[in-house]
Amino acid sequence: MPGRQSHGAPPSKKPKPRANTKKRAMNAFSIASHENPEIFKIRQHRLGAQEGPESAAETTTMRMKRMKKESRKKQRKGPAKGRFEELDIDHGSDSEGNEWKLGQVDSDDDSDLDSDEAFGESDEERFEGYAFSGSTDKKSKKKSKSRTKDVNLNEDDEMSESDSELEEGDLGEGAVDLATMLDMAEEEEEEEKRLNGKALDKDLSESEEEGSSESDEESSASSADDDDDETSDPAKIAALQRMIANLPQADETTRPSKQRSDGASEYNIPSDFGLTSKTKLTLEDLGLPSINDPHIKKSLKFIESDSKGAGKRKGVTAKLAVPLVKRQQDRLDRSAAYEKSKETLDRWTDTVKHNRRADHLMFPLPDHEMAAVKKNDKLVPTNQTKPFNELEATIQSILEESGLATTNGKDDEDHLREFEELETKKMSLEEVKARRDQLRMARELMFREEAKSKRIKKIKSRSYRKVHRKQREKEERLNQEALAEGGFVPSEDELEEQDRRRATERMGAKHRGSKWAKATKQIGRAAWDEDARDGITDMARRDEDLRKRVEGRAVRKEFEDNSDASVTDSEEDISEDDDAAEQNRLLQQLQKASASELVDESAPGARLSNMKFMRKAEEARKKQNDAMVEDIRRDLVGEESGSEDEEQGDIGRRIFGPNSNKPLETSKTPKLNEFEEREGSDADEDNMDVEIHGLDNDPRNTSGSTRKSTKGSSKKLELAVSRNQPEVGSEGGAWSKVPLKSTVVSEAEAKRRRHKKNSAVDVEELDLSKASVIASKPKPAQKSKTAALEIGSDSDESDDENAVKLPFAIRDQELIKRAFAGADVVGEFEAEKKQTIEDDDDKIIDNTLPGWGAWTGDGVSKREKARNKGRFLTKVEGVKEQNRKDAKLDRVIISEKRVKKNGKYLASTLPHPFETRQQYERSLRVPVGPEWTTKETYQEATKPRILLKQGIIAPMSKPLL
Amino acid sequence: MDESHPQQVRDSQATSNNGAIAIKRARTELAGPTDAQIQRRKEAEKEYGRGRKIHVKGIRDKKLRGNLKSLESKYKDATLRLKDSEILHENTSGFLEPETSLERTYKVRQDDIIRDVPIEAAKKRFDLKLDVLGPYVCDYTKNGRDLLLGGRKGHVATMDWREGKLGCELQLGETVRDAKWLHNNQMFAVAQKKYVYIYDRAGVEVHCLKKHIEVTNMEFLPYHYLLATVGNPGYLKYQDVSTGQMVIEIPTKLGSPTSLTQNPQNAILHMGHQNGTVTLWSPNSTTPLVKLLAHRGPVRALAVDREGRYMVSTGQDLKMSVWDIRMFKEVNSYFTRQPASSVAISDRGLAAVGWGTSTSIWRGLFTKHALEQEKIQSPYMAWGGEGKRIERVRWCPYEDLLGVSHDQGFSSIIVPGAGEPNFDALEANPYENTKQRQEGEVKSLLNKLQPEMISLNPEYIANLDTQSAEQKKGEKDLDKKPNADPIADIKNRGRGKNSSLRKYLRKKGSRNIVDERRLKIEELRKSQNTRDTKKLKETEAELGPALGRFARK
Repeated sequence: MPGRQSHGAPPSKKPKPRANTKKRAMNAFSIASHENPEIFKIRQHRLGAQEGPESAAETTTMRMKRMKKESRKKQRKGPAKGRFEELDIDHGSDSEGNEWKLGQVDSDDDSDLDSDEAFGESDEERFEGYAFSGSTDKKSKKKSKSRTKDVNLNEDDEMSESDSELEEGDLGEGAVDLATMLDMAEEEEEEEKRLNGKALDKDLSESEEEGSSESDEESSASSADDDDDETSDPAKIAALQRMIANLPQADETTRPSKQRSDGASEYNIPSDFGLTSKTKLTLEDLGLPSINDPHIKKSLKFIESDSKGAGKRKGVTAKLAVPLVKRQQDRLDRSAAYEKSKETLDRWTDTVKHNRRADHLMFPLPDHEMAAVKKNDKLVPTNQTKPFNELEATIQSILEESGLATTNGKDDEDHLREFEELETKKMSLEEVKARRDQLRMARELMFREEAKSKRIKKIKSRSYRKVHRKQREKEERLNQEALAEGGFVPSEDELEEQDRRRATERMGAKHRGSKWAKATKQIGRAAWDEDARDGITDMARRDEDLRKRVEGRAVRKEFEDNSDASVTDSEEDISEDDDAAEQNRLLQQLQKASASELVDESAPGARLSNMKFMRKAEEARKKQNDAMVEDIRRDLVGEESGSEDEEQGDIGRRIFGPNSNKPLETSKTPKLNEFEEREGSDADEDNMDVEIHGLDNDPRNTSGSTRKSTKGSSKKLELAVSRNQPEVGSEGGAWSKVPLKSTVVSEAEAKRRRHKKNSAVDVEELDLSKASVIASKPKPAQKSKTAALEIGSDSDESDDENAVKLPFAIRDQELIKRAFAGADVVGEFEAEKKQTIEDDDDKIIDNTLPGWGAWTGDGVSKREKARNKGRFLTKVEGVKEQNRKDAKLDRVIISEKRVKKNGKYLASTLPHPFETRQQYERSLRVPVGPEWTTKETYQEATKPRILLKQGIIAPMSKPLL
Repeated sequence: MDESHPQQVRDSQATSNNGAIAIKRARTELAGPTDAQIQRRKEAEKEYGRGRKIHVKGIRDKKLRGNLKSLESKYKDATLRLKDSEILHENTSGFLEPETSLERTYKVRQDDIIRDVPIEAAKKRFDLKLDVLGPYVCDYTKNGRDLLLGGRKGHVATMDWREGKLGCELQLGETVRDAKWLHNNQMFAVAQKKYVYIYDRAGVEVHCLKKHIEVTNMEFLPYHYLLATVGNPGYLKYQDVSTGQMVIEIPTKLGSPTSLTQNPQNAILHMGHQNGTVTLWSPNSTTPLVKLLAHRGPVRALAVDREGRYMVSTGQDLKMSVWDIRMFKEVNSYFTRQPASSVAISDRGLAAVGWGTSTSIWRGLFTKHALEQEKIQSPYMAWGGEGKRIERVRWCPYEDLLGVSHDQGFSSIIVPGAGEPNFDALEANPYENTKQRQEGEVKSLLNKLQPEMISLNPEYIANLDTQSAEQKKGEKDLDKKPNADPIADIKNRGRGKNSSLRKYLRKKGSRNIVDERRLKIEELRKSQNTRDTKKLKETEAELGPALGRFARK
């Protein structure tokens, strides 16, 4: 970019600093393309080499003057001078501005430039717009040439980047929309006016400046980095050009615009020839100056608005952004596709890993098998959609009518389930699990309130019944008393009624004479069936009641609800004063029911429950529940308010107990306090239990009190006690003392004792052989061991010790000693061992050859010989005495020789995955044969990694894990 | 069990003392079963373990770590399952137990025992009176079903002792020094005056092993099918009875041996010598692997226990010594009143010692897991003293019986608790039928171990060779031909009628020995054939249909 640089130099810098920098930044691409020297040259030739210098000179006349001044100033400056002069020589032939040229060449290091070339392409670019007095015709020629070239180029371009171009321009590459053309016309008019105003003799540089600044302004006005602007610009320009071409008189006027167009062309994708590639064909070009078809007009209008919008509306891109180059786009697509595919494949990694690591794989893979099994084991009608025969059809229709079946044989839930199943099949196991958990939690939360209300209702019904029953009884009693007082005797009717009642009771109840009772008795069912046993006790109790009734005595409870039997059975025995406690229990239950409403916020399903509508519903339900609780409580309390007073005194004290962890609850419902205490009392009872156990323990193991323990721990203590008991009992027994001792003794101690040979473990064995002889047993054993082959006093001693029992042996020993006195077996053996040790030890071999490097034979003195002896020594490594296996064994010689034949079965190197010898050898020791292991182990060890079963081996449809 | 219980008790005490009960409870609940499991695992490891564990955690390689971890778990499972499978051992062994401290088990006589045992068991006590043909040697088959008796003066007889059925009876008319069953009851070897002969079940002489001269002691290694003999010249010879090849002849250089036995665990032979030493031999080395001085006089008898841990030797010096033959340390030594002529160790570790005219049976001469072996004061049982000089004692496998052969015949005596109560039918089946025997024979032949596999440590197979590179270099045989081609000579000699291949096929082709050479040769032959036929076809095609028939084949 020689030209540009030269103009970037101080002289030209001054007038347009802003535009310059901007342009430079923008047109880097075009500059780069201009730099290509070959093409550059070609271009120059085509333009006509002979006219180059002249035209160059002509074009620069105006500039020259200014430049001259400046360069002269420069010349006066010292340092640059010499270089300039050198360059002067080169272009000495040039008649006029050598100084002017200096500036140009200065930036360009290429000193071989011809004068034609000196007027660089960029210069041409710059000065293109200028009209030179003598060269107008040529210029226009050139113009036309370049234009034709342009067209060609465009075609080339189309080949290379057809897609993007086509997308961009609706009318194709060379086309120009009508609207833009019209626009252009306006602009051109303006230009004309301006140019007319300014004479030709006016400073053209200024006008150029203006033009460029104008264009700059324009470009800056429309967002600078907007591609549309840039692309639309050349189109406009091209249109303008064509307009100008149509106007025969406006040769001069076109030039500024031309210049501008070229200036704008720097924003374009550059072509090799520095020509604009974005010139478009217009309708005029196509020979369609006017369009009559309304449809086409419409579309044109749209296009027009598009292009206008691009020009005027900032930020909003009416046209689509320029698509990326195909290659780039493809790359992006690929990377995105890769990410996606990776994501999907990552789900398989666990499964693949698992299968790779699995010891055994069975094909066909189990999931398919499972699916097959599922399909097979259901008995499904052959045709689900349609009823099989008429009867079925009628039934189906009836069912449908009554709403018991849907038309397809599947109701909505079925559909839902099916859908869900399908969904879950696609998901991996973990996902399904997580989802299920979440659902479960949500459901749990949803139904919590419902469950609570149910519970409350139950409590209510029970308490209600109880209260009402009591009231009724009371009334009746009062009635009877009143009657009795009045002297009324129960009439026959009444008696009969009573009898009848009794009879019905007998009928309904399990009584002794019933079939059931007989059967149970016969089978002896009560022995093993708990229900039966309960029934029998129940029966007995009833029997007694009835008998009492027959006798006319008052039975506490006369009427029982059959449905409530199970509950009331247990309650029947409770006496009147127990009723208070019963009441309390009920209240407690209520309390509990109302208290259990904690929703864990952190729970996975809590979200759903925390949604607004859910909360609302829940709240409503809760309110209902609370109200109900309140009602019941009022009932209960209202009935027995008198007895409550004493207990209320207790409340304050007990609230600080272990169960006082509900301050929120109490603040909400202050009445609840009274029930809190009940729980506390309950816990207290438990504590009492514990205490009792603790007392049981105390005498035995003096354990501390365990008052704080909860109910569970008390159970455990019981266990502990039961475990302790045998031990305690055993302490009394004499013989069991030994094992007890051994338990006390620490393991280490036991070990030590075992060493001493009187450990507790051995006691049993010792007991068998019994007694004092054994007490001294270890000693003689050891001694006799050493004594066996040593001659001397030691053996005598051992003999002496054994003498008591083996007088015979001693005498023999003496004899034997004498008998074997001749053969010194031990000595021989020791000598042999010494010999072998020597043989196996390191050896030094003298490799000296007599007469090799020294005199030998007769006449060589002994000293000489001795001197020559140890000259070449080699050491053969053996086994040192201390390293021998039998180093510490006095009567053993272990061969240190390597058994070569065994080497055949040894591994020469450590096989790959193993890091140490131990690991490898350990891996060999796994028992494999059926002789050494159980069948199970054997089969496991020999099971092949891949098992093939008959069937189709289909690829996995989804990850298993 | 004794250890675990007190621990639990202590635990419970601790919990009752502590305040933090909730946690304790959880722990003990968890620890309870694990303690028991640990105990069980330890027991299993002790009984069926296969060496020390390796530390898996230190391994850097992830894959290896995983593999070894699974390996360890396999070991653990295997031992635990073996422990569990003990429940299938239906029979248990029991010893004579004295009721009072004054009672002595060795005073119990055979009559007393017979009176108390079931009739079937009592039947097993019997005597064979064979007082003419001199002291007898005896041998039981591996499954304990058949008995072989060899009288010094040439009387050899086999019998199914349970049924009292005589298998065969031979009057050889020459000295019989030893008699041994081979792998089953179908064949037995007799060391006669000069050679060793092999007879079949019916007493027909099958082989005469002329290389075994003046053999005094014989041993048969059942897993290697090796018959090892040693005679007066002191040459130890191993003969493979399955292939008939002599494996090795080793000069012991220690004179006539006085006793010979094998270690059933590693098939090493223990030989006792005149100078009181016991040498350990394998067919792979010409020098004894170990030499130990057990006695000061000649070593009269040797026996090694089933697990190959202990050896009992008796000598002329009236000593009986117990050796730990893994450490090569003498465990204990005992006196005998007379030089013991024979020793045998039963499957359950009872040692029978025949000395003079009586036999004493020792219990607990060695105990497997004891840190220090205790010295036994008195024998477990005793038999004899009736003027029958004991020649040999042998335990009957899988029976509580001791076979005692003496100069007056043979006696089978009952020794409670001697035999292994549970037999493994895969190993040896006392009740096998013909078919099973035959199958077992084939199987054992297929599983035959090579003589090179005999070593002091039988688990050395495939271990890493720790030999240094220098040693390897030194051992290398420099004269060995590099990579000898087994069919080089055949390939080299050209074609024609007398090509080396044809010659080979003519001479040795019919032999039914398929080895690597043979396979290669067959391959070669095949390729040659195809080449020839191809050539022939070509020539035929060249000559045309008319003249093709004259093409040279």
